[in-house]
Amino acid sequence: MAHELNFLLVNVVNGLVYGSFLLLTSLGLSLVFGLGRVVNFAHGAFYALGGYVLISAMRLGFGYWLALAVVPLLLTGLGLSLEAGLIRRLRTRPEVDTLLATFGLSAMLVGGIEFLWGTGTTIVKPPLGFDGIVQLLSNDYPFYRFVAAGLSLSIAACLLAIVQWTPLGLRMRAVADDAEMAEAIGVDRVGLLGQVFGYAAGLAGFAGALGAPIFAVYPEMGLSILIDSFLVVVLGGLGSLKGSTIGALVVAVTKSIGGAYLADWSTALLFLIVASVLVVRPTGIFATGRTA
Amino acid sequence: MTLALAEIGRTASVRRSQVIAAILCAIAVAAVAAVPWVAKSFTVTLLTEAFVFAIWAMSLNLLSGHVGLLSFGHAAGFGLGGYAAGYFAREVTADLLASLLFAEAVVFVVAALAGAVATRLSGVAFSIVSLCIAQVLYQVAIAWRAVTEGMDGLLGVPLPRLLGVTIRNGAPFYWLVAGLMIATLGGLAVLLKSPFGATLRAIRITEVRAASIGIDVRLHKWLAFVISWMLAGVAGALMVFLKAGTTPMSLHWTESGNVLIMTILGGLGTVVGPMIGAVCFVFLRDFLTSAFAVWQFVFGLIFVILVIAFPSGLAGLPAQLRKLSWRSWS
Amino acid sequence: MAILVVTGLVRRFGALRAVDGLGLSVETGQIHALIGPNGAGKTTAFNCISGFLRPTAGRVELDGLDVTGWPPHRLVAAGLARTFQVTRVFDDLCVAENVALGVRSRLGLNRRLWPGGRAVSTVAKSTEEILDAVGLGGRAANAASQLSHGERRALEIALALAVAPKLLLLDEPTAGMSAGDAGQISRLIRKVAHHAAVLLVEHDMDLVLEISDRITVMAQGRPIAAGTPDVVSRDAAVQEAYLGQWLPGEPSC
Repeated sequence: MAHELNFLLVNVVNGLVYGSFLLLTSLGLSLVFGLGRVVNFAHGAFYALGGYVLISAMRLGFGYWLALAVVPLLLTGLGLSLEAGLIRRLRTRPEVDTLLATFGLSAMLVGGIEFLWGTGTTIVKPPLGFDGIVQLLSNDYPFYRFVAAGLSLSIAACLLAIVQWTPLGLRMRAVADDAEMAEAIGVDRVGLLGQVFGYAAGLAGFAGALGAPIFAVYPEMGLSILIDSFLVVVLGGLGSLKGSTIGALVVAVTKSIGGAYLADWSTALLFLIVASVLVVRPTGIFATGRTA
Repeated sequence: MTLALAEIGRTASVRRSQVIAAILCAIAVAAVAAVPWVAKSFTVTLLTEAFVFAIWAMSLNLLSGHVGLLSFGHAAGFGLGGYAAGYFAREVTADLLASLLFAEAVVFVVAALAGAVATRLSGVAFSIVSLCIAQVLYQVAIAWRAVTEGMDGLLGVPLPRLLGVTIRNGAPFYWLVAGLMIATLGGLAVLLKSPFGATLRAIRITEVRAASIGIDVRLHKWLAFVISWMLAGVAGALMVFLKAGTTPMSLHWTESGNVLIMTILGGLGTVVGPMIGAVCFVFLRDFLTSAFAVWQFVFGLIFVILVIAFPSGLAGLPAQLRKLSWRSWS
Repeated sequence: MAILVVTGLVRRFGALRAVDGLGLSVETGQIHALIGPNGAGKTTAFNCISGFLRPTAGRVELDGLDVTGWPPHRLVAAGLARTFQVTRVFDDLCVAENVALGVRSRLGLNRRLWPGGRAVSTVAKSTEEILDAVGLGGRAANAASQLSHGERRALEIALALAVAPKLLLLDEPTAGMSAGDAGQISRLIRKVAHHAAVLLVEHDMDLVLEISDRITVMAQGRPIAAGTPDVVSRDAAVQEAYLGQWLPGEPSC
């Protein structure tokens, strides 16, 4: 009995750890959608790039934490350039065009990753001082996971605080609420989307780098978290940050427990849950009124 | 009535243009049929593959071009049909009709269920969920080792038999596929010109208006969804017979991307576009084939260029459909 | 015999009661106008009756049938048709095809898989009749997107007529129209009312007073007055609701 409880506990904790990363990527996705109705398919690729930039930085001699700090800077820069060069061009086109373009972009980025870094998996060791083991009930549990999860959650909390209480956040909420109105009162909608797109890319890359010692680094790592992020955002309601937070929790824990008890079938379970929710509420749990 | 008189006058010219169209079609069919006698066997195989993709692309076009539900997971029906047909052919009998029937039954059941959920959505939400559905099937293909043999794939699928005759690779299989492709083309052309096709287009233009003139939007979306899956399933089954097997990669998101690029390349919303796109795609890919990594980059680049180079919007309908008046089908 | 009977209609959005207890009835041959200042809940009520919103409470009866909460396409089959405040027609299609869609829908030909046959000429004839009735006969072959604003509003009405409704819901039919066009539309509405019941939302007071048989005035989700145009225009509560913005005979701005 105690053994079962242990097993369950470990998986729940694993789920929460994954959930904290999923939260970061989902929030980024949700923010960008809420602001500009842009669904960024390449979001997963940013996550993956974060892991790879970390590896390269470390190979160049940077320490783990320094390399980690470099990642969001580079990724934000990349995000800003891509937004200005590609996404902005499609601003006046039907939404699906952006969806298609980011889909293509994603293939380009993953292809580029495989070309530059190869197709194999790279293990990253947790940084010294944080690589210890702690006791979780009677299990050995890597200390780093708590650190990383804690850091993710703190950053997510900061993000939510920024959106709720700062002038930048106010502008973001105004545009998300009623873009035309916001523009009419002088908010630079286009510039704001550019900024937020960049930050979201930086956030995703940071999550990828932060999670590297836990989840390893491989070219397709972005896809699975992207799918999960989509599920989170659709479940919680497109454009709703509160929905994404709850959705991330549900998806991550379900995936973890499902993965432990149902092995490869867990994804099917996950989709069943999302499907059931959508049957009852097609716009997601906390939809902002926009269906698509 | 002035309209009626004008129509009588028009009948003559309509008849003439219909005759010309029929002649052109006959020539095209003859050309397609003649390929095995004039081309290398490698080209024949490549063209066979292209025609299978053409059927697949046409099925996507029905759902995404005509109803406007952009699917990012169209590998689902394709891969599912392939696995079902391949499994049946290997374990039960390689009779083509029986395998196709079995595959279609399986695809129908899954499509009906998935469609019931997916068609509650529109736009972006639908696209995302369609991708998720395909991902789930991909995971199932890897996980259900007992049936699908996991990552190793389903191998050793025998050649199909039609009415007792084994259809060998090369020319016979080519004719089979070409015939099915032409039948699909014809069938879809008729369907799209019918009232059913008009209803689907109306839904694409504005769901709200369609609903308020009495169209059961959800039902029609579901019908289009299921039909497009079943057609994709046929393509998938044919591919499995062509390659004597399949792997979970047939359900991968890059495959969904491939069929999407084919359809868009050829012209989303047109009738022959997907076929042209499929043929171009297959030959282009063959030409560009090198390391997988480079291919994926080029694929993405082409995609992005296509999106930008269509100023009137990729998913917007081409001007051809403007000409579709009630006269054209009376 | 009343075609439409609405009882106790309520629609809440969270704490906001957009419609709070609306009741009215419309008979065949009657034109019933629903008026009120902006935000009074008229469009919400319309959406509840026509199936685009589910009422929080209340009852909608169409020709004796309880259709509360029915989806739009089922309501159409039961004999209801509506137009929209913001013109929604099938832009990419030609005018005739627009109307033909509605006619086919009425005749149950939506899912027909082959063109041709006697049904085709029936549809064509019906389409012609309807287009002539709204005055768009000469524009049958034009794309809907090429029409002028007034013509598009007429097409909206044609679409509604295509389904041969017992009840016609018109949402600001003359919105944005010139006086001439508006006059044409009002004549059309009167013609249509011979065979159906008409419920309309309008801001053009002159039009309302001219063609309505009955008026219901709404403010803040509730009906504040109802009756013939004479009675309503003299009602003190109505005048207050409009803040004295109009008096009978004066133009409304």
